Amino acid sequence: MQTTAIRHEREPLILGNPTLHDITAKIAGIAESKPNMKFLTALGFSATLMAWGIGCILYTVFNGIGVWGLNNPIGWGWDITNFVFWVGIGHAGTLISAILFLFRQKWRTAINRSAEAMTIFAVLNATTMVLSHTGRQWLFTWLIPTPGNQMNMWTNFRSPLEWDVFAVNTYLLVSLMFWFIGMVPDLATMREYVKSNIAKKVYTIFSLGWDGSMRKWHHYEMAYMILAGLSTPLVLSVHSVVSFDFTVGILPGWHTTIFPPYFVAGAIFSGFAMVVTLLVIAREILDLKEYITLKHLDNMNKIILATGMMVGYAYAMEMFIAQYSGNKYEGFVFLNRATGDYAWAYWTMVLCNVISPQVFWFAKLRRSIPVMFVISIFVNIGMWFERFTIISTSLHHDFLPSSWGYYSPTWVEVSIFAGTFGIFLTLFLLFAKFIPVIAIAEVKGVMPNAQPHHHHDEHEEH
Amino acid sequence: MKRIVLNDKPFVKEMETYGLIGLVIGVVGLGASFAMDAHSFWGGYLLGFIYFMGISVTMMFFSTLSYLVNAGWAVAVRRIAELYSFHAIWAVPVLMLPLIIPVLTGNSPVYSWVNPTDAHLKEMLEHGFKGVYLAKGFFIVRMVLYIALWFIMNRFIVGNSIKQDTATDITPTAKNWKRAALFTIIYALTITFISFDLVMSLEPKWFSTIFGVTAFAGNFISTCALVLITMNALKQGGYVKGVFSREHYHDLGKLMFAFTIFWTYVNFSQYFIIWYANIPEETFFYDMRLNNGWQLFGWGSLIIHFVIPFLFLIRQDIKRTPKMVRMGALWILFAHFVDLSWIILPVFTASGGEHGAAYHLNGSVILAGLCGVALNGGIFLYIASMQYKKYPVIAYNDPYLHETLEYSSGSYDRV
Repeated sequence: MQTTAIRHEREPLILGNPTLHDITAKIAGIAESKPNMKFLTALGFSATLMAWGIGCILYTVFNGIGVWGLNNPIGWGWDITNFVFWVGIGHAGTLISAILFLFRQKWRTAINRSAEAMTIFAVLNATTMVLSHTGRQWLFTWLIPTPGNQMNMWTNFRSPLEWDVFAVNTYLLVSLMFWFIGMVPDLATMREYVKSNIAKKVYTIFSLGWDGSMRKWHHYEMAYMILAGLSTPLVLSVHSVVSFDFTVGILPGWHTTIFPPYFVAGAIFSGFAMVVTLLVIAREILDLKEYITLKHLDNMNKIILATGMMVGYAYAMEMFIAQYSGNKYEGFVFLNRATGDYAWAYWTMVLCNVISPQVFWFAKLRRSIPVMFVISIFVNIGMWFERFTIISTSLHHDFLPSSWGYYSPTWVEVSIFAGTFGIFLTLFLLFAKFIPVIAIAEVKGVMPNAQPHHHHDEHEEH
Repeated sequence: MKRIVLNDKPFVKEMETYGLIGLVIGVVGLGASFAMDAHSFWGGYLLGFIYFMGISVTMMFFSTLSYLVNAGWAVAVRRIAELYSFHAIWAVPVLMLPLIIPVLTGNSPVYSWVNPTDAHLKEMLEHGFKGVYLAKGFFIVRMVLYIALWFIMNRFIVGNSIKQDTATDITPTAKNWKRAALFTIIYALTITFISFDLVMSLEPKWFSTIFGVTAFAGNFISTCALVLITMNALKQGGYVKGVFSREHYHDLGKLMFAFTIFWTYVNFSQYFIIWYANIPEETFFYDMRLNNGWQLFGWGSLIIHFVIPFLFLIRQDIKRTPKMVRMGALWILFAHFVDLSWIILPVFTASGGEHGAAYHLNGSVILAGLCGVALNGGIFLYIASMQYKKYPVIAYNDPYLHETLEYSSGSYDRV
C-alpha cells in the first residue's frame, strides 16, 4: 500500500550507528576492563556505609528495639517507612522488564538489565528493614508457615503482615528468575569474551550451556514471555499487599479504598526516580551515552510525571473524601496532616511529589541532565516522606487525646537507613562490574536493520 | 492511502436503523415504565445515561491517550473512537436535563440529598463539607463545567485529528501531542467527579476514594470492546481494505484482557478493604447489594465481568481470531451493563423505612434498565451514523499511518 507524504519517523534508540560487534565490545568491555580509581573509591565508600548500617542492625539485635525512637502510640516509625520505601523502589525494574515488554516498548532494552538489578537489591533492603524490626530477629523462621515451629501453632494467615511475607518473597524470587533468564545469552557472550580462566569458568556455569542455536532462542523467548506474564500481576500485587498493612485496619488515614492502586503508582514513581538517579551517573561514568540516550531518560521522566500526577490524584481524593464522608475522625486526621505536628513532613511530600515533577511538562527540562537528576532526588525524598507521613500522622494522634505523642528517630535508626543505601550501592557497583549492564542481545534486536520493515533506502522506495 | 467516507453505504444505513430501533424501544419501554413504576423508570433512565455518557467521553480519552503515548498501532482505529465521541457533546447535555432540573427545583426523584428525609443525613448536610459539595447550585455548576470541558476536548482533540486529514504537514498532530497531556488530566477529573455526583451520591452517606477509578476501569474496557466491534464491522463489510490486521484485533483484545483484570483489581480493592475493616458506615453499600436478590448481580458480575472474559481472552489465538474476539467484546458490553446495573439500580428498589431499608431485586427495574440502555444506545448510534456521513473512517493522513499499516507484533499464528 502506498503511504502518504506525511510520515513521522521516531528517534533512534541507539546513537552513533554501531555495528553488532561494536555493541558487544563496548558492553562486555566494561566488565573485562580493570576497575579504575573512581570505581574503587565509590565501592570503598558504599561498602563502609554498608558495614556501618549492618553494625547498627547488630547493635539493635543485641540491645533490642528500645534503642530506636519508637514509643506508644507510635509503634511504627522509620523501620516500616524504610521497608515501604525500598519495596517501592523495587517496582521500576519489573515494570520496565515485564509490563513494557508486553506493551512492546522497545526503549526498555537499554535500561531493563540495570533497573531489574536495582529491583532485586531494593527488595533485599526491604526485607532487611522488616526483619530488623521483628524484635527477636533470630526467630525469623517463624514468618514462614510450618507446623510445629512455634508451639504447634500456625502463623496468623489473617494478618496482612503474613501476606507481606508471601508477596515480597514471591516478588523477589520471580524477579530474580526473570533477571537471570534474561541474562543467559549475555552471560554466554561474556563466556566467549573474557580472557581470565576463572571468569570463563564462572560464566560457563551461569550461561547454562547456551550456544545461540535457533532452538535455544525459541525456548528462551517463550520462557521470557511467560515470565513477563507472571511478573506483571506481581508488579501490582506486592505494593497492593503492602497497602493492606494499612487499609485493613480501621485507623483514619490508613483505611481508605484507593490505597492499593495509589501505592502501586507511588512505587513506580519512586522506582523510576531511583533508576534515573543511578543511570544518569552510570551512563556518565561507564560512557554509555549512545545506549542510554536522552530519549530513554525523556521517556522515564514522562513516566515519573504521569505517576506523580496519579499520586497527586490520590492525595486529592483522600483529602476530598475525608471531608465529604462526614466522618469527624477522617476529617480531623487529614487536616492534622496538613496543619498539625507533622505538617512539615506533609508539605515536603506534596512539594517533592506533586509540585517538583511538574517541570517535566517541558521537553527541554525532561532532557536536561542536571534538572532530571535534581528532580529524581526530590522524588525519592518525597516518596520517603509520603510513607513517613502516612505512618506517623495516623499514629501520633489516635482516638484517645491523652495518649497523643510525637516521634523522632535515634541515631541507630538513621544509621540503619543510611546503611541500606550502602547495601544498595555496593551491590549495584558489583553488578556493574561483573554483569553486562545493558542487555546486549536485546539491544541488538532494536537496531534499525533488525526490523522487519526496515527500508534500506528510504528515498528510492517512496 | 485514500480518503474513505462511507456516506450512504449499508454500514451507515444499518447504524442509523439500529439507532432508530433502539430509540423507539427505549421511548416506548421507558414510557411504559414511567406509567407503571416511576422508581424503576428513573433507575433505567440513569443507567442508560451513565452507560453511554461514560463510553462516549472515554472514546475521546481513547484518542487523547493514543496521542499522549505516541501510539503507532492505534492510528488505524483511532478515528472509530473519535466518531463515537460526538454523543458526549450533542446528546449528553440534553439527556442530562431530566436528571438535573429536578435537583434545581428541589424535588429530585433520583437524589435523596436534594430533599433529605433521613434525619442523620439532614444533619450531615447541614454541618460540614458534604452539604457544601452537595449543594444544588454547586451541583449544577459542576454539570455545566463537565459539559463545557468535554465540548472543548471534542473540538480540540477530535477536531485536530480531523484537521490532520487535509493538512500538508504534521502541525495538527504535533499540537495534539501537547494538548493530550492536559486533556488526560481533564478526563481523569471529570470522569471521577461525575461518577461521584451522579452515581456515588445516590447513597449520599456512602463514600469510597477509589470510586472514580472503578468507574474509569469499566468505561475503558467497554470503549475498547466497542471500538473492536466497529472495526470488525468495517473490515467484514469490506469498506476498509488493508488497514486492519490481526495485530489490531490482538492489541485491542489485549487491552480488554488487561483492563478486565484492572477492573477486578480495583473492585476487589474496594470490596476487600471495606469487608475486612467491617465499619457499618461503609459496609451497608455491599450489604444491601448482596441480599434480597441483588446478590445475583453482585456475585454474578464476578463471574460475568471477570472469570469468563479472563479465561476467554487469555488465549492468544482467540485474541487473533476476529470472530472470537468480537464475541468477547460483545460479552464485555453485556458485563458492563451487569456491573452498572448492580451499582445503580438497587437504589431504585428501596423499600422499608430509614432503619429497615432494603433493596429488593425486581423485574421491572431490570427491564427499565434495558430500555434506558436501548434509548441512549439508539441515540448514540444515530449520532455516530451522522458522523460517518461527514468524516473519513480512517485517519488516512496521520504521520504514523505507515506504522499502523506495517505493524507486526512478532507474534505468530499457530492456527
